[in-house]
Amino acid sequence: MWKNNHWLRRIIIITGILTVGYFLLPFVLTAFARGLIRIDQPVTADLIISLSGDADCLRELKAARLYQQGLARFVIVSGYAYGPDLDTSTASRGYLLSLGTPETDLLAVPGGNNTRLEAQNITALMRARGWRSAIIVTSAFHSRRALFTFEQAAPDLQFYSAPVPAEGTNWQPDHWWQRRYAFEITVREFFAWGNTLVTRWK
Amino acid sequence: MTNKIIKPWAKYLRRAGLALLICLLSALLLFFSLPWLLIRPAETAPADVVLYFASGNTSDTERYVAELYQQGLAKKIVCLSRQITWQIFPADFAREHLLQLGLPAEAVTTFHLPRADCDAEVGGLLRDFLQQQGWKRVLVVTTPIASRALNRTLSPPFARAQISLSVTYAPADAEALRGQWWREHKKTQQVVQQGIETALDLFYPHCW
Repeated sequence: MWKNNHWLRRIIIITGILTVGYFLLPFVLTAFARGLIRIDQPVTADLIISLSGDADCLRELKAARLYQQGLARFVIVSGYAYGPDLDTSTASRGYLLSLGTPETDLLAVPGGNNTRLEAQNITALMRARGWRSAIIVTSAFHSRRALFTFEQAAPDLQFYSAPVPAEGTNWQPDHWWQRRYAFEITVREFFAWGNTLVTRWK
Repeated sequence: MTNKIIKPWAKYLRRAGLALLICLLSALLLFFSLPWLLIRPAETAPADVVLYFASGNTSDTERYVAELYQQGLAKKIVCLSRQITWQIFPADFAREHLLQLGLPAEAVTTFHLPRADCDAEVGGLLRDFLQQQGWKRVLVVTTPIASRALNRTLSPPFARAQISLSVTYAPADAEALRGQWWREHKKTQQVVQQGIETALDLFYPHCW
């Protein structure tokens, strides 16, 4: 009799936990995804940095808009090597030129095959040119990690985050698990955060 | 008295530790098994067309595609890819490279894939394209780690249109994944990403 009660109590507790977990899970998952985003107040800076990795070029488009608003004097487009003869920074640069960004204010930085390399290359260039502050433009899901990586690479420089809005067909933190595309991006970003933190501790 | 309080917690801690250890070992086992789970044995059958899924840094793969053509396994090659940045499609670069390797321009064309949730979504599009061209036997050349997934996603739409499908990859690409692939960041990234993509496909009916 006592044993039956004991098991009954266990079943009730486990069912209760599972039920609460089921209803809480969407809020927890959304909160985790929102934690990936960092948006700073709009400020002026020495330059705008558009990070690579957006096939739809929304990062470049946003960087061009910020430049047109007069938030910085220069724009850097980062790219990554894709095959022996191609670095995407050349195409990104072409896109910004097509949007009316003057050639004199535009720099392409190749070889940024991951965020850490981008941070190393660009902060070295910033120091060489005497630039002290930058607005970083990337996708919303990537914004907090990008800022973290740049701040780790150059604690003496100032960085602000102005990501592509998480809306429309872009990645969105709400109910991300319902869309295959958003699910993949979110999971990959969590892995990337793990990699960023582990390698930082090395 | 103290023993009575500590003992049940010690039991739960031991169980939790054991569960954690099992999870960790399973994750490690899964990680190191990924190439075996993702790579399908290559099939190289004569075909009407080679569909080459172009991706970056693929000189070895393109040499292999050229070899397949020169061996007479197919008379046409279609290079496929999505846009990776503004007006840049790796398929265009792959075609250029194949022409540099001596293939005739009329034998190599490109096909720009639309942005899609997963590869299964482009299966129907490719089937329609193949039917329009009257091609019934297709040899797909891809990366080794994408071979099983592509075979899984392309087989059903192709089979419905009675198009036979073989999937292969460059031996050099497969060889590169036989050693200690996890020591290279890029290889690890590619393998893990394909693993995640395949696992996610399981949860979305339109991707499986």
